[in-house]
Parts: sequence; structure tokens; C-alpha cells
Amino acid sequence: MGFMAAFEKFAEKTLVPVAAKLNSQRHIVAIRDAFILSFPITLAGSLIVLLNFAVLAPDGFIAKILFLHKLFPNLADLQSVFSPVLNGSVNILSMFIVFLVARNMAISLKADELLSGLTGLSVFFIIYPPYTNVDGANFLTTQWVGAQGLFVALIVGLLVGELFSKLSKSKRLQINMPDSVPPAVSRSFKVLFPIIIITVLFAIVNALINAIYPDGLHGFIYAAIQTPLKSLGTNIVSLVILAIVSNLLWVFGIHGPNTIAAIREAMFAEANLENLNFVAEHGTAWGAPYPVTWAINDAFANYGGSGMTLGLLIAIFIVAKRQDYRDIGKLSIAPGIFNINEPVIFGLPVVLNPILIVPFILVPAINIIIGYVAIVSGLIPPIAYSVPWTTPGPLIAFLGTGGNYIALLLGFVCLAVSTLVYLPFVIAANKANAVAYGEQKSDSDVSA
Amino acid sequence: MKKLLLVCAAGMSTSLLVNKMKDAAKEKGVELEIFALPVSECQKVAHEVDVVLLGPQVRYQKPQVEEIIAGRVPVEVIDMRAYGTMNGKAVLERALELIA
Repeated sequence: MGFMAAFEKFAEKTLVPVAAKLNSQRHIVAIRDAFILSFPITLAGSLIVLLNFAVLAPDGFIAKILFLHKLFPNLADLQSVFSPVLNGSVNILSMFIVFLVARNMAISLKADELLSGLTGLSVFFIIYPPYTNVDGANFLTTQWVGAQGLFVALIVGLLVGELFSKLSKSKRLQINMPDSVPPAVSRSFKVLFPIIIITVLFAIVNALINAIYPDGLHGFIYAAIQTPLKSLGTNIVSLVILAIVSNLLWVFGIHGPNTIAAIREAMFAEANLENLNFVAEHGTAWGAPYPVTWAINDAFANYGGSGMTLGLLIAIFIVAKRQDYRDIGKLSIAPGIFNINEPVIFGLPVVLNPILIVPFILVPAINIIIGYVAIVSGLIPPIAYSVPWTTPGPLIAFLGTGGNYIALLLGFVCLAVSTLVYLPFVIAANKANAVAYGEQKSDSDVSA
Repeated sequence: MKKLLLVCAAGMSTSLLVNKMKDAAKEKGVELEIFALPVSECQKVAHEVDVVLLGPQVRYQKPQVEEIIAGRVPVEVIDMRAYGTMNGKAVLERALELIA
């Protein structure tokens, strides 16, 4: 226990403060919460892609299983009914993000959140490439409102949120209305000058950048920041490192996926959306532009939640003799199927458990590599359809590949691998704690 | 009626505990409103709750929550073991102690 105590002390001194910083630093929180808030909308878009190509397309896998196209010959026509959902969700993600980031910044700086968000959206289009006029009608490119504009959206959101909150606190810039003026009116007058200053400022910045760099701010940021970061993210080494860091945080009882969410989203959001758009265009996951994304983790290395603890639960049911292990196992299996595993992490616990932390970190790394090898070797297509992380394990692999049965099978192989790796550790944990357990139980009864 | 706020990352696992606590409250015959929210949303209800409990996985966010609550009501991190075993009764009793 001496080693473990030293280990814990080390973690509380180094890792915990870093995690606390990451989770309370307002810029990171603003980005993370923006992605969390926009998630239901992007999910709606992803589900429509799944519906269109799995159910409604004649060669979709669900259509094939149920012979839908024989029952309803014109089913494919319905695709055009649903596909506009994509235009209103993932294809304009950057607009949501810029609004939300600027709003979140204002919330943490205690300024007018709604008007800060709107100013963010306004600035996003001030620096947008200008209209092109074709036959008397004006057109705006859709290139930067979706995935490719994400970084501009993040940067603009952060800058506007910061500037707006600072400027709107300056008493000299406020126009105060008499009490007889309705609150909605006086609210907008209060921040009138800050908004004018911000919009004019960005218009000038935009003009300067355009003079130097003809592709404009969007093109510049995409080439200078977003593309390098994307290529940094979409490779196997980054994927494994991210997974290890995320699971390592859980070992100290810190919510890992949440802590790395801002970094992870920034790295993978564009790749995920490009994959989804590829599927929407081609109707298949084969040949998707970014084979290596965080989706591999969800599809093969996150069953039961972080640490792939579904394997741990199965191992417990097979070999555990300790009653508390079996009790926690029973309690955890239902949420575990949907990849929620706090009961396992805090109940067994995995947290600071010198034996279980080894497989907890090892298993996801192994399974990510298995999934990666299967994809790059062409055994299965990339995980291009996005599937909610709460979907039961192997189904993520199956649906994510657009209904590939080998991927489904591989999902079960990964589950077996995780169980096998956990087994010896569960046996060891049972032996190691068999003596200490008697004391512990009477202990927890008092505190509980 | 007293209001009890549980805070965690996304509100997923904590809502499990909330259900267990509601059952325990019913059994005990205590009238209580118990609900779970992510940290990012607890500002909105900060002025109307009587006690705030944090999931152990977000214990490092305690300073943030304390800042929001500003010493008005007790803020505490839920015991890891009680959280992991989803021991609604134990957590409820601790919360009642804090309110009392």
C-alpha cells in the first residue's frame, strides 16, 4: 500500500491540478460545452444519414434484411425528403459553434450571453468570403459554414466572447436608458457600443488579411491551424495516446473523456463530418477520407465505458468469488451495456486499485490497435457513420461501418480480448483482497 | 420543499443515483426534490437549492461550484464508495445531515 499511497500523492500533486485547470479554464470550458450543446443536432444529422443509407437505400443493410425495397419499391425516393436535415445540422455546424462559444464565454464572464453569441455569429459572417454574383443573384459559399470553418468559429467565438464581455463592462461605453424604457430595449442599448466596436474591428482585420492573403481569414486559418491539427489527430499514435490519457485520468477518479473533450473535438470534428458527408454522397463507408478517428475508440475500445469495462464485468461473472465484486457487477451490467460505468469505477473500485488499473489502461489501447489494423488492412471499412456513444458496444462497430458484419464480429472479438485480458487481474484482485475484505466491509457499513 | 442538487459531468450516471435516492426518500417518508445537472448548468438553479452534492468524478470542480453557491448552502463531494455502489440511502442521509 506504500507504493499506492505514494502514487496517489504524486497524482494529487500533478495530474489532478492539471485536470482541474483544464476543466475550469474558461476558454476550454466554452469550447467543450459548445460541442456538448450542439451534439444533439449533429446527432440528428448523423441519424438521418444512417436512415437514408441503411433503411431507405435499396442496397442498405436494414433494407436488405427486411426486404423493404421489395415491399415498398419507391422507398429510395424518400431519401430526398430527409437529406435536408443534413443541411440544417452538420453542414452548418460552425454557425452553431461560433454562437455557442461566444455565449459560453459571456456566461463565465457574467455578461449578456445571448447578445454575445449573436455578435459572434455576426463577426463570423463579417470575415466570411464575400458574395459572388451570378445572374443577378448573390451566392455565399457553403465551404466554411460546416466542418471546414470550425476553427474560425472557435477562434471568433473566443475572441468575441472575451472582447464583448470586457467592453460591455466598461461604464463609459454603456448607454443607460431611463427606467420607463422597456428592459428589452435598454438591454440592447447597453451593449450597442461594444457590438459596434467589435464588428468594425473585425471588418478592418478582415480587410487587412484579405490584402495580404487572398483566400481570406477562413482559408488562412484552415491552412495554418486546422489542417495541421487534423493530421496530428487522425493517426494511430495520437489515438492511442489520447485513449491512454483519458483512461489514466479515470484511474484517479477524474472524468477522462470530459477532460480531454475540447482537445479531442478540435482534432476530430472535421474528420468525422467529412466522413459523414462522404457517406451521404457515396452511400458507403468504404473509402471514407479519414479512416483513423476517435470513432475507432467508441467502436472497439469503449464497451461498458472507459477502460472497456464490459470485459471486466464478464470476467467478474466468470471468476470473481468476492460477494462485493459480484454485487457491483450485477448493479453495473445494465448501465454498462450502454457504456456508463461509474458504478464499476467507483464501486469496485477501479480508482487507485493497483491491480485493475493495468488492464483498464491496457485493454482500450489493444482494442484500438485491433480496430485500426482491421481498417487499414481493408478487412472492414472505416467507422464513418457517427453513432451515439451510448449505443451498446459491438452495435457501434456494426452501424458505424454501415452494417458490416465482419465489423460486428470484430466487435465481439474485441469484447472477448478485453475479457481475457481482465481475467487474470480479477483473479489476482480476488486473492489480494480476500483478507482485507472483512475489515473493509464493516468499515463501509459505518460510513455508508 | 427542500431541493437537493447532484452535479456530475453529463448527468448520466448521477441520474441513476438520483433515482435510488428518490426511492430511499419515499421509503423514509421525506418530501424532497432531487435532481442532477452538469456543472455547466448549475448556475441557473444555484439560488434555489438547499444542498449541492458533487459526483466524485468531478470533485476537482468543487471550487467552481463553491464560487457559484457563494457559501449560501453546503457543497460536498459524494463518498466514492457510496457513489459506486449507488447507495441512495447513504447519500440521502448524508444530504439530510447537511441540510439539518
